[in-house]
Amino acid sequence: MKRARAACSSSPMDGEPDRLSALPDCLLHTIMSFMKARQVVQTCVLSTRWKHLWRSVRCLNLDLGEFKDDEDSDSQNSTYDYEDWEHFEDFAVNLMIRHNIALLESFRLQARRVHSKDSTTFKEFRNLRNLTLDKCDLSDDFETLVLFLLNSPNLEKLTLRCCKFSNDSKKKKGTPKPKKTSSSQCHSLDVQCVNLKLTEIIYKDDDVRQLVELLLRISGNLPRNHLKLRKMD
Amino acid sequence: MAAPESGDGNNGAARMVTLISSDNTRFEVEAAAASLSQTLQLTILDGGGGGGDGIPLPNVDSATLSKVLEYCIKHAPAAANGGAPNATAVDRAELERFDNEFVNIDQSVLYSLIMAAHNLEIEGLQSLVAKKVADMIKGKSPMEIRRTLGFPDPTPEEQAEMNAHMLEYGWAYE
Repeated sequence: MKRARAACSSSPMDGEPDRLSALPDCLLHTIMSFMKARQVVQTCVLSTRWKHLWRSVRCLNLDLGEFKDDEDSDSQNSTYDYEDWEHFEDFAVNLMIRHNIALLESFRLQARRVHSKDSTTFKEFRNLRNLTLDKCDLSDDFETLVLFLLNSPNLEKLTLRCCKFSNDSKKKKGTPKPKKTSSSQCHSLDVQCVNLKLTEIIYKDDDVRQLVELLLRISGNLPRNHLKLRKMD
Repeated sequence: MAAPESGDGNNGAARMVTLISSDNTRFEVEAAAASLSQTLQLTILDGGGGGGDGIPLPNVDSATLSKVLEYCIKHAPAAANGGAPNATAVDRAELERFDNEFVNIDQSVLYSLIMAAHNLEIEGLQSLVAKKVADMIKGKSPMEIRRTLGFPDPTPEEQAEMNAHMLEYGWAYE
């Protein structure tokens, strides 16, 4: 291969303030997709160019770990105090209000608790294709999960990784759950994710029966869905 | 159009194509490597780039193109295996080592590379560079980011605007 070391690699946009900001929006968005949500929002003060860029990122990774105060402790065996939680929640609510959620294609949520009893805070994730819930507590009888599904009509892939599915995972054997008809069970029938192709459940020791039952019950509303279960070692 | 016979008598040898950078340097490279670019793949499937004619790339200079092709040549075998599901752990580790070293370069080269990867539609390269730039931003305060990434110093008006903006975005700064 011939190699001529050309001295000039002149930027196509000379006169711009800096090379990074000179990149087109779509590439800055690609770069932001490798960052976590809080840092993404923080880029808004970099310069006028960056002020509103974050609002239209297609991919958000919202992680409670970003809100932990002491940085030196290991994030694996992390404990979160109430203050961390408040910051996280405050951030999440502001993010949902100010981000152009309709543009979102991929959303990853890593949080211990998700409570969204108030379904009005949910906006429609009109273009969401990929949803990952990582280490989320779904033991609210899947109410939160159902809310996500109800609001994501174009979802193609759902990943539930190491989520908590029930409150009494310790004595899962031989203790039949009291059968009650919760609101999520009613609402789940309204779920219409016709494009959902894959639901991947990666679990540890938790009991996934209830979740699988729920998915089977609404399988008529998820005509293309394949269910993939994987137990982590 | 059926796959053309390239008249260079390269029976058995891998098919080669020629790419021409914006500053008129010609690069001869295996078609399989160049085909990592979605854009080039179409041209190559149509029989372009062989023989005497090269494929002109008016948006990519020779320094950048040589770097792009270094990536493509390294990644072509794995890509040919359909994302290399049967690649050995050693192969994967080697590619990872290559990637890490590959993006350990000047910022200005990174930006030229990501533009080229974008124009040529080489997704793996685009993600690799994007991740590297994101890593340079991660964990830094806005001022640190501005310094690291060579933003010019803010004018007093800009600084005032930034401060006001920072107050408005208190929820993202806790």
